[in-house]
Amino acid sequence: MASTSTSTLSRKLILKSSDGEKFEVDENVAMQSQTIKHMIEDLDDINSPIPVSIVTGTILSKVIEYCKKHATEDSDSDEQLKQWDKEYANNMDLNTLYYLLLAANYMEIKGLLELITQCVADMIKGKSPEEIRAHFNIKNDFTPQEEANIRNENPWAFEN
Amino acid sequence: MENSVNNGKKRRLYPCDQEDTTNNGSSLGGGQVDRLSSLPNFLLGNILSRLPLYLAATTSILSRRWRGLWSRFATRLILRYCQFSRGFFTPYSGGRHKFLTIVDHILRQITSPEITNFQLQLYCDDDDREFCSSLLQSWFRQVCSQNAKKIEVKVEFDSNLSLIPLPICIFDCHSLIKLEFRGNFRFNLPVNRIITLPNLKKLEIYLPILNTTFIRTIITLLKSCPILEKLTLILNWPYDEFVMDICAPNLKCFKASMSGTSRRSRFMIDAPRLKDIVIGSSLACYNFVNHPGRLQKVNISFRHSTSKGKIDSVSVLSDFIQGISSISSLELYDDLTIFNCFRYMSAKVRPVFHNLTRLILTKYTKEIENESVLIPVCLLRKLKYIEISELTGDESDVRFVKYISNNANVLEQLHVMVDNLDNFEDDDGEKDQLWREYMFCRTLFNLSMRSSACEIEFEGHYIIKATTPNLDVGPSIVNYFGRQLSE
Repeated sequence: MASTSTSTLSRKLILKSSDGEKFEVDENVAMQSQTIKHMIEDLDDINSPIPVSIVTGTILSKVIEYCKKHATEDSDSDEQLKQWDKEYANNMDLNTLYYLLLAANYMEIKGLLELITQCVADMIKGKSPEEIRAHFNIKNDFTPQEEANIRNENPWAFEN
Repeated sequence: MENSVNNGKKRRLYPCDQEDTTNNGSSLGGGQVDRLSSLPNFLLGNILSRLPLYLAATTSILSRRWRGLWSRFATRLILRYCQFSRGFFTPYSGGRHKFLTIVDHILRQITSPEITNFQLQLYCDDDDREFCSSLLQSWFRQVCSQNAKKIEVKVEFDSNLSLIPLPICIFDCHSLIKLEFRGNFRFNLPVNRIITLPNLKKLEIYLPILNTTFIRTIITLLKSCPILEKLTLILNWPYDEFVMDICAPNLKCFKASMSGTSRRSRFMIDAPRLKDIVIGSSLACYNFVNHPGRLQKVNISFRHSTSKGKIDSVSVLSDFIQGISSISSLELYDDLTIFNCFRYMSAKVRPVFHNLTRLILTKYTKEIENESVLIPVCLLRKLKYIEISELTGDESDVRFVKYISNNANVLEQLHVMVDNLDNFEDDDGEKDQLWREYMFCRTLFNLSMRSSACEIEFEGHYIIKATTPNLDVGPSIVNYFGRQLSE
């Protein structure tokens, strides 16, 4: 897997996670992250590992999985890609989604950020406030009186 | 630099990463961490902005962390009366009034710096006209100051005659990309100063009542939108004659539907980049200032214009026909006037339609004495794709399809769609429909095609698709029954 003759297009980059795991990826895969794109613009030595300092190896591997899929855009139709995205997000548990969201934000991967925020929004949809709290372990720190007051601020929202 | 990252000890930034991922967050263990609430505001806001407004607002009740957060990040304000009225208002006028006050209450809370979409749909009773008008002024002032990108407003009134002013501030909203308004608006631009909507790409105007000052206003408005790409005008025209200049250097798609228009009314279209035209309802003159050489698609659906005499429509349409001579695709709805007109044009001015390859007909007018000559042969011989929908399979349909098969010598695909009769109360109705489809389909596949390579597709209610017969074996029909008939 040494560098092939096909010039800059298939250049390899090494990404290093916060826990020291190294990943070799094609440049066009990594470049979907605006953060990495800017980093390598300033980088003299392309061969040294690029630190992705707040993302663990577990999460980074999932980010790379996403970027790989979206780097080879012509192989799939939009429809297929959407389906893939959906399955990708549905297979994550809440914790992974949370770290992926932070990673997508830090690495500035617009598509992934949209996918995960939409996925979380979809989880909120169709749930009552009690169900939302239970799903996300949100602790209700209002007194019953306070809660009643908030309902009264926007009764239209609760009567739907 | 590398060392600091490599520094083995701080292996994980998030201490409970590994443990938690094995332990699904939705299990309700008391020790579970509320990760969602610990996200930074802007990420939570991003999630909230993807929810319907009422749902976003209910999150205020989750915990102190969430209280009021929605109103700082709401970017899509979809406020439709019909949505809110579900199970909440009864559709009497009191509900309409209440809706106005609720929208006002909601908008007063919204403080987000950018509103990507403001969609408003409401009913206004005559008693509420003044109230509604003043609310609209303040709402639009607000969303425009919050950098609205898309504004779609639809106001329906009890009475058709009372107009309310469209808030002028819309025309100073530089962030606007799309503007659509529909309703009994009095529509004036600010006087004594130049307006500009530098980012507006889509403009849709639906006005049920129109007068001559509106024409001047629309003309001026168009001049104020330098990058406009899509223009839709649906106007009800009570007056006989007018001239409207459509001057838009970047316009790609123009849709117009006029009702009550006189055929002496005239659109002067100056849009060199135009690719797509959709015109309908009453016949009017559509003239081009310069030949739109990039035009690819035209869709025409004039209502009942054929019955009003050939010569008249020739004078109205011949300029238009010359103007659209570069098109590759022509769609017609229940009206073949344009072919009629084409035939009556003198050979000197009749265009050749070099690029025309696609013809899509939805219905075709059967009252005409001899429908089989309706598509001029010189055009038929260019076509590679013909689609005809809403056929019934009667004698004139068969004649029409035969005429096509006899003359279209380079045709590659003929797509025929049969209309469903909706009277399926009894088995006989279903059997009739099936029989009709079968007979029509058989006739179709037994046609001798002038173009031997032509593929025929049949789409009915029961016989869904039947494709290319192998010519050596003789025509064969592939039947596919979408549903079983009950015997």
